[in-house]
Amino acid sequence: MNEQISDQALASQVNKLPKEMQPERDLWSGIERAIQGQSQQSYNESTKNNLAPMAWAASLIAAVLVAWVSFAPTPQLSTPLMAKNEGTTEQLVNTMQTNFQQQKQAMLVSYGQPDMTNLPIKMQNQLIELAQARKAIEKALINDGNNVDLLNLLRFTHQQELNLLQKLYPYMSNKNVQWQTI
Amino acid sequence: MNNSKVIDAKKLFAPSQEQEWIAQAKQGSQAAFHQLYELHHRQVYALCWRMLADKDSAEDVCQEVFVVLWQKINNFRGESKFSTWLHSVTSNVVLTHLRKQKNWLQRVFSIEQQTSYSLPEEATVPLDDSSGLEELDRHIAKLPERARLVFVLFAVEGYRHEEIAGMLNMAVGSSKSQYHRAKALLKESLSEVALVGEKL
Repeated sequence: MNEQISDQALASQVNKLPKEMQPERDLWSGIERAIQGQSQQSYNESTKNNLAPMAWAASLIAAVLVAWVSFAPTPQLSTPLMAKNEGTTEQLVNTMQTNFQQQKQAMLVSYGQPDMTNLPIKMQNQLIELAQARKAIEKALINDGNNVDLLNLLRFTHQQELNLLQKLYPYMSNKNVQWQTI
Repeated sequence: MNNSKVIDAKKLFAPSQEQEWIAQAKQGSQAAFHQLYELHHRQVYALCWRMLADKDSAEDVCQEVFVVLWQKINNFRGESKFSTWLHSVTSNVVLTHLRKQKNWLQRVFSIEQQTSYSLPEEATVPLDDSSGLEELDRHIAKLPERARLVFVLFAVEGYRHEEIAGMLNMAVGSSKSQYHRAKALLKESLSEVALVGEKL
């Protein structure tokens, strides 16, 4: 006699099925690796997006500075006054430059001397352009010591370069982390 | 007495704790997400296992479910219970996995070969398996794939035939007939086992 079990008996067995089962292997470690990879990727994408306006701003500043230095009219000063001012302006520019270099160095040391080559080429070029603009202003200031606007521009450029480095640092260090993960 | 009070208190606070973890996970907290995993992964794995009827695939897909969950957790608006929403995510991930697997198999086997080889539909869980599975689970695993999926989604997970038809891209009538087919096969195989037991 082959008597089949009833619908009710089957339903009762279904209701008794456990809601949970324990997987044999540890699944979390794989999940963790995958989501860390994703977080890293989305972080890099968002950082790239955040850096884009900064890069544009840096390029614009560099372009304005180069244009200013190239085309600004040189004030006509009498030769003795020029000679007198040359020494003091050079000193001032040197002092500003020294301060800037010290701040930059201190910042890089505090970040553990990050490798600039980790930055995308575009970012590296923009940093180089900003540095070139700074040097051009320093040079122009030596010839045009009385130009207060140029001095302000130099101070502004120093600050912009430091700000940019500060914002680029997490990007540089995260690149390292990503490489380690890979 | 005191113990039962502790258990009641745990049950009372568990949903709010879960809500907190969900909110933190939405903010990107992996620690909170791990807590959600600890809370739900056994249920997710059970559903994966029942739908796939294969331990290794179930483990892989269970991982995939949580990776998808991490990506989509911001889509959870709290309109249903989190576990209900997670179960629907799981069902979708499992079905996507099966479709991909089928596509891959179809690419591997040529059309000529498909006439002589049928795609592996039935799972390979032996009925005398002693892996700690419930007897009914072992029988469900032996069902043909479509019948198994419909049975698990309808009888175990409580989906309606209309929902299942949408998920499996089939007619509502087909879902119902697959369910009846699964039920008949299960009743038959369970009765056979009972008969053998009686003889022994």
